[in-house]
This record gives sequence, C-alpha cells and structure tokens, in this order.
Amino acid sequence: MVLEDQEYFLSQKSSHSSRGQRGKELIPWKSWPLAAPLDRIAASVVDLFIVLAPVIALAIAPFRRDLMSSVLLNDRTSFTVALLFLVFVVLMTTLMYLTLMTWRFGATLGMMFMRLSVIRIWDEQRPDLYHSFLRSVAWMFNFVLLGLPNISAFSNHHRRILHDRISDTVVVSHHSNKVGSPSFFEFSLSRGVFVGIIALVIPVFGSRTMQFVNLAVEEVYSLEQTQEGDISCKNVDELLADGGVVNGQESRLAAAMTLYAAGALTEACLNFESDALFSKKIETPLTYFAKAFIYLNNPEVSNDYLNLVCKRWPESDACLMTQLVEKWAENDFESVNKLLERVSSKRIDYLNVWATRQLLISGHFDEASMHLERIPPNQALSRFIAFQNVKVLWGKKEKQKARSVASVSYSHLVPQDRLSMAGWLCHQESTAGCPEMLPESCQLVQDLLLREPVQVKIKSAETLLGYVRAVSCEESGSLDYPTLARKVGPDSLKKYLAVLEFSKEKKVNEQIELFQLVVSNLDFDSVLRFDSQLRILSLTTHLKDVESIFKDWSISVEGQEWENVGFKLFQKLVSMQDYQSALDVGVKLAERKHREVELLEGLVLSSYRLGLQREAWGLYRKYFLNEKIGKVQRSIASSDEFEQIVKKLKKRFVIR
Amino acid sequence: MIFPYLRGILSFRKAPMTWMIVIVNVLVFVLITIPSQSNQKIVRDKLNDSFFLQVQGRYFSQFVVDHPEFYGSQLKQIAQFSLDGSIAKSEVMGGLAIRDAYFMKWGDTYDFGGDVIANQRWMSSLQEMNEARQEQPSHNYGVSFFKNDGISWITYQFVHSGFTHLAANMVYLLIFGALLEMMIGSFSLLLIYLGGGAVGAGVFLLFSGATPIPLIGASGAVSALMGFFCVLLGKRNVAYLYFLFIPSKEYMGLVYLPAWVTFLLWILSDLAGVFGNMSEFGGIAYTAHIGGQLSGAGVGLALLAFHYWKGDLKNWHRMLPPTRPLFSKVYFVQEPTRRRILSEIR
Repeated sequence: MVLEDQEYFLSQKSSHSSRGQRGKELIPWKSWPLAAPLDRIAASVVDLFIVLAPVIALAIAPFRRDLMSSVLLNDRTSFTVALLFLVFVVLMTTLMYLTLMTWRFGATLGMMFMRLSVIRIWDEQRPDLYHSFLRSVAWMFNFVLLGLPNISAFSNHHRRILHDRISDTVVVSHHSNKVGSPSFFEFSLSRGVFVGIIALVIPVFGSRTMQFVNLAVEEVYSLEQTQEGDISCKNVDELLADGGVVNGQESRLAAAMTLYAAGALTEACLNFESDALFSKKIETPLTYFAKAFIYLNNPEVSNDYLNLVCKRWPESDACLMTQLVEKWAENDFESVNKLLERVSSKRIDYLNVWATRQLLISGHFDEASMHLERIPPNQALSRFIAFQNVKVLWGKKEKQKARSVASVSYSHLVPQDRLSMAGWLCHQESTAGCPEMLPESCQLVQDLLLREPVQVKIKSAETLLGYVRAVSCEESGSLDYPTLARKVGPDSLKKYLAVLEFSKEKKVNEQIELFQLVVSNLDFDSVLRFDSQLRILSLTTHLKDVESIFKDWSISVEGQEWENVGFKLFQKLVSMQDYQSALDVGVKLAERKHREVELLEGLVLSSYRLGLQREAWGLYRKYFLNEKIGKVQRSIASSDEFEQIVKKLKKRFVIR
Repeated sequence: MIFPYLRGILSFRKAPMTWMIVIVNVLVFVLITIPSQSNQKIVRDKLNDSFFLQVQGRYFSQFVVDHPEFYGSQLKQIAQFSLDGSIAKSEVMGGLAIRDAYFMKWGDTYDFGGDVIANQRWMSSLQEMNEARQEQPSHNYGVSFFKNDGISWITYQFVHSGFTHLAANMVYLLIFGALLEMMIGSFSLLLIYLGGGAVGAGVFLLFSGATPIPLIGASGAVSALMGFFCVLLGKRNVAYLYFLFIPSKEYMGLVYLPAWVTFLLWILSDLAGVFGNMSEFGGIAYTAHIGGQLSGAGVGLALLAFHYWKGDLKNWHRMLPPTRPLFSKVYFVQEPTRRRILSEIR
C-alpha cells in the first residue's frame, strides 16, 4: 500500500533524511496532531462496550436462544450451527460498523467521543470504502494477535498501528490531548516490552493453548466414547435375550437391577425401567427397592422407599434384600450371613451380584466366590464376572491363578475395561512393595495409556495409584504429572494427582499436612484417603499424627485397603511404644484372619509390655499353638526379645 | 460504561412527587418484603431439593405429554427426554413446572401413577411451597395469570424482590422522574408513572402466556417515564455519566449526548432479552419494560402533537433544560468548571 506512492515518497525523502529518526522514511513530511494511545484505548472501550455490545446482544439473541435449546435437547448439530452463526454475526456486525463509520464519517462513535479521526496520510482526507474495509479487518485481526500490534502506538514515529499502516491512515486528535512522536525512552521501553512478550509469554501461552485444545479434543472424544460405550440401556434387552434372568412380571426390572448392581447400567436407565412400571400403575416391591438405590445419595428418601418395601410386602425377595442392606450398613455380619443362607436356595441374580461386590469389599472372599458362582454366565455380565473372579482369587491369595485369569480375560475386553482390570491388579501388586511386584499388569496399564490408539481414561483410584507406584518403583521413575492428568477422568483423581505433584517439593511436615487434608476430605475416594494415611505413616515421627490416623481407621469401613493401613499402623504404634492402641489395632486385624507373623508376635509383645501376661499367653496359645486355626510358623526373624517373653510366659503358665 | 445523568438527583423541594413515590417503594420494601424473607427461603430450598425437582419434573413431563395442545414443541421434546429416564432433564422440567399455570392449577389433582413415596413427598413439598408463596408480597400484590385484577396492575409497581432490584429502579426514577416533574408537574408525572406501569402489566400478561410467576417492580413505570422523556427531548443533548475503565481525569465525567440514546440503549437490551431467552425460561419481564417504554413514548408523542396543533411548540421547548454541544464533556476533577456547569444545569 505504501509502495504505490513510492515516487512521491522518494521525492520527499531527501529533505527529511537529516532527521535520522526511525520511521521517518515511511511518511514524513508533516507532523500531525497524533492521538494519545490512552485516547485510542478509550475510543475502543466506547465502541466495544457502549455501542457494539447492545447491538451485538440483540443481533445474536436468536442464536443464543438456539444454543440454549440445543443444549437442552442434546442436539449437537443445532448447537454447532447456532454457534457458527453467532460468531459470524458478531464478526459481521463489528466489521460493518467499523467500515461504514470510518468510510462515511472518518471516525467511529468512540473516536468521535474522544474527538479523534482517521485521515489518509497522502491527502489528509477520510479513507475510501476499500481502505476502511482493510483497516477494519486488520483492527479485528489485532485480537487474534492478542493485541500485540497495539504496542506500535508507543514505538512508531506516527503512532501507527498495524491497521493504520495497512490502510495508509493515521489517527489524529482534535482536542488538547494530542501528542507528538514517541520519545526515545518510550520507543525503547515499548520495544523491550514487545520482545519480552514474544520471548516469554507467547511460548508459554502457546503451549498452554495447545494443551487446552488437546484436552478439549480428548474430552469430546471420551464423551462420545461414553455415549457409545457398553453402559447403555440396551444391556437390559441383551440380558433378557440371553435368558439370564427369570422372575415373572418383574423380569425386565430384575434384569436392570442385576446390571445396575454389576455397574453395567446407568442410574438413568434403572430410573427409566422403574418409572415404566409406575406409569402403568404397577406397584411391586422391586420397583420401590430399585428407587431406594436410585436415591442412595438422599438417605431420607432412600430409607422411605426401603421401609415401604417391608411394610407392604414382608415376604418378598426385595424385603429380604432390604434387610440385608440394612444389616450390612450396621456391620452386623452375623445377621447378614443368616439372611444370605435364607436366600441361597433362590435364584435372585441381582442379590448374588450385589452380595459378590459387597463381600469382596469387606474381604469375605470365600463367601463372595460362592455367590459369584451362582451368577449365570452371559454376555452382558461377562465383564463383571471376569473382574470379580480375579478379585476373589487374589483375595484368596491365589495370586498366580488370578494373574492367569486376568491374562485370559484381557483379550475379551474393550480397552477401557482392560485398563480397569489391569489397573486394579497393578494396584494390588504394588501394595506388596517394589521387590515383590510383577510388572505385567502395570506394564499393560502403561501400554494402554501411552500406546493404545483408542483413547482410554483412568477412572478408578486403584488404577491411578497402581500406575503411580509402579513408575516410582522403576529405576528412572519420574512421573510426568501434567501428561498423566490428561489421562485421568474424575476430578477427585486429578486433584489427588495434583496433591502428589505438589507434595514433591515440600518439606516433610508440609507433606503430612497436605495428606491430612486429603484424609479429612470426604470428596476423595476411600482408596485415596487410605493411600494418604499410608503416606503419612511412612513420613511422620510424631505420635499425634499416628493417633489421628488410628481414630480415623477405627471408624472406617473394613476392607482390603483398611487392612493394609491397619498393618502399617500397627507397626508404627509398636515402634512408637503405644502398646494399648497397637493391641486394639492388632486384635481387629487378627480377627479378620490376618496371619502375618510380625503382627501376631507384635500382639503378644504389646500385651506383655502392658503387663497383661495372661492375655499375652492367651494370644500366643491361640495363634501359635492352636491347631484348629492353623499354627503360625515362627519367623526366622523373630526377635530375641520375643523368644525371652515366650520363655517367661511358658515358665509361668505351662509349668503350673 | 454510560448512564443517563440529566440533572442528577434533585431535592425533595424540586420534585416532591418523585420522592414520595420513592418513599412509598422503600416503605413497602422495609415493611412488607423484608419480613417475608423466610418464606422466600422456603421456596428457594424447595427449588434446590433435587428429589422434589426430579419428581415434579417427571410429573410435569407426563402432564405436557398428556396435554400437548398447551405446549410448544421444544418443551414437549424435553418432556420426552425426562420420561425416557434423563434425571438432568427431569430437574430442568421440575424447575419449569412452577412457571406453568396449568400444571400449578391442576397438577396436584392429577393421577401420576403408582409411586406412593414420590407422590406423598411431592404433594407435601408442593403444599409447603405454595403456602410460602402465598405469604409472599409478590403473590399478594403482583400481576400474574392467576391474579390480574385492576388493583394489582397498580400495586405490583411498588413491590420489589430485593435490595438491588429496588435500588436500581429508584435511582432511575429519581433521575428521570425528578427532571420530568419539574417540566410537566407532579400530577402529570404520577399519571404517566402509574399509567405506564399499568400498560407494562398489560403487555406482560399479553405475551407471558400461562405463567403463575408474578410480575413485580417499578421497572415498567420507570421505563414509561424514560420513554416519555426521550420523546420529549428527542435530539436535544443531555448529560450522561461515563467511565471508560481508565483511571484518569479525561476518561470519566459527564458527556452531552442526544436524549434518544437512552431510549435506544434501553430498548436494545430489552429486545435482546426478549429474543435471547426461551419463553419457557422466562425473560418475560422484558415485555413489561418494552410496554412501559412504548406507552411513555406514545404519551410523549401525543403531547408534542398537541402543542404542535396548538402552535406553541417553540414555547414548549423553552421549558426544556439548558443543553451543550454534542460530545462536550465535564471532567469531575475540574472543580471550578464542574461547579459552574452543575449550577448551570440545575
């Protein structure tokens, strides 16, 4: 644009070359009353917020309404179309306003407000339509370049920004606030700022933007996967077609309950199935029982539904199941076992599925195995059966068999389910510590996360912890937290990952405080809270921290993780000589068939040191001499002190 | 940002009727609205209870499907999603249900199926909510599908939902009302205020459909005053308060712009509200604003036509406040100038 008048420009050049200032070669035969940069910003504020904002708000109103309705109607096509129209209207309105105002009046309303105007550098007239259009496009393009071209207002000889230079114009002021060319100081400072921004901000901003884009793409992808995934209401039809469930009129709802208990059906689908019966005015105990599960997050409502089941149908299977749920919540395992025996002759699939899961959580592996065998094999439940089978075998200490079953199952599972199973196994392997860990399952997790062409997400705490521990066991075990965070689904897991990363740089006491926050925050999964407790136990040297964990542990729901924390807690309490608490923890663990020699020796030791010699002898006799429960083989690492105590106990109690 | 300033807020002596209206509004707020806050909390709690919303949403969806003649296609689609088991859509429908007069009128007598727990809990919650709503001033003094007698067309103008609602309306009333009162007299001002508000209520009822959510607030009446003022002053420049987010003397103060700018900015935002919201979600109070503005503008035009017919339009213009050239500014920091100009415009 500037070149078209080069001859004229060249003819003027010689008379001004002596000034020796940057930019003077471009235009320069006149010193205009230039607009102050702040005036230009103020003019843009007026244009954007006072003039354009209400006009654009009205212009995009119909598209805004379409966006709202397409979100409500889950209509992605309408959403995209409305969004595109909305952006188009915003751009066109802005472009038209800027172009027409500059062309017809030589100033936008904002410029008029600040008494500025745009003139052509060649004849000082207002620009023509073509140059007004070019100027407007370039003005809008400034936003794409993050406003960086505006720095020219502080460095260019005539304070001409990109859009001024493209359209051969300059902005002049008609009031007292006019300014001249930038001073050398202003020029140097603005260039410095520009270089600084380019060098520092842009790379950081660029990489963050790319991360954001990748994340958004992954989110959209995973959203589509979930919608097309195996958790769908169609599973009910598949299960019924397989003949997996028979239960008369309620068969459809019973099938839905079975799938829901197995984690293969969403709450919405179960809700749909139960409402389908209610809308036909059919009231059955199972319908109310299903509702109690749907509203589990609202205990008051859930209890209302449960109470009604037994009140109106005391002899029904659903009432039995209700009682079972209630007793389980009260940790009354004696009653639970009796109730389970009562229903053992009946074929109630949802009960067997539910019981398998609950028994596994509470560590009753033999009973879980029994209920698992009663579930009829079929396609819709195959994932559940395979996964629970691995858990049962692992719980029964048949680790090699569990690994084999898992290896066979992997080939039948979709990548996401494969990740869940391998992640769980990896977590179990990692619990035993680095030396005893077999890396196959953890390696599979790594492969699925890094190399699987189909995107998979870490959705369970076990998978995350297993992977983190496995990487820390490797020799070059440094974890790329930001990359891993992108592979993690639920927010609570992301937060925990952030806690782990953050704690790396902290002092020990700050790390402990951080993990204590996790323990006290119920938003975190219980597995994560137990992991935090383990980390605190390995870090702390203060009895106060250990006692706080002891309090939490005593009221926690019993299970595999609970046992792991309990064992570490017991070791810590013994080493800190808090024998009373150690005894409480040890007895609880021993009651749950925990038979580690270290635990049982520690129990006898703690009891003896508390002065309870009779109790110490009783424990020794129960666990080391009793043939019925299986004598514990003494460890070769048994301490001399333990030997001495046993001798003293024998001397006192056996000789008599 | 830019707001009409005109002559600022004038004293009680110069604009007694405007101040009287403000005092009545504030008294109603202090004596009636504030004591009923506990009822508002009950209604709010019910609308945050997800079980209540889900059940109500499913029932409303059933109601919509059974009575398709009352409802639009979008609402019917959302209802179908809810009936297909979507819990999120049920909650949306539960929120929309309380905006539907037909459902609120006949819903509690309708047979929605066999879930006795859901029925019982919903009925008792609905009853509790309706009782709380009946104790609210908006129900007793507002205009709605159920309550649109002549008195409520006037009383609704003096009831506000909260302090911000009241404060915003009263500030605009003081700015426009006080200046107009000096120009047209107290009685005329009251007439335009109440009449414009009543027209606003009429337009609201015309366009709102069957909603039991009452219309309250002085916005319609204030819009009428603003519409009247803008027509009366037309192209004449009046003072606006402006602030351009730059903390320097040149970028905040008063600027002279034509009076019609206020009308334009106001009606643009109201039209955007009307066209930008789904009718099921409300956004209907905007129609009351537009009704008020148009009625005020209509009265203004009639008055100008009358003076034109009488041939004393020039005399009428002499009554208007002094003006300054377009875009001329008064900066707040220029104390002597500011004082001189403020004394001039007052």
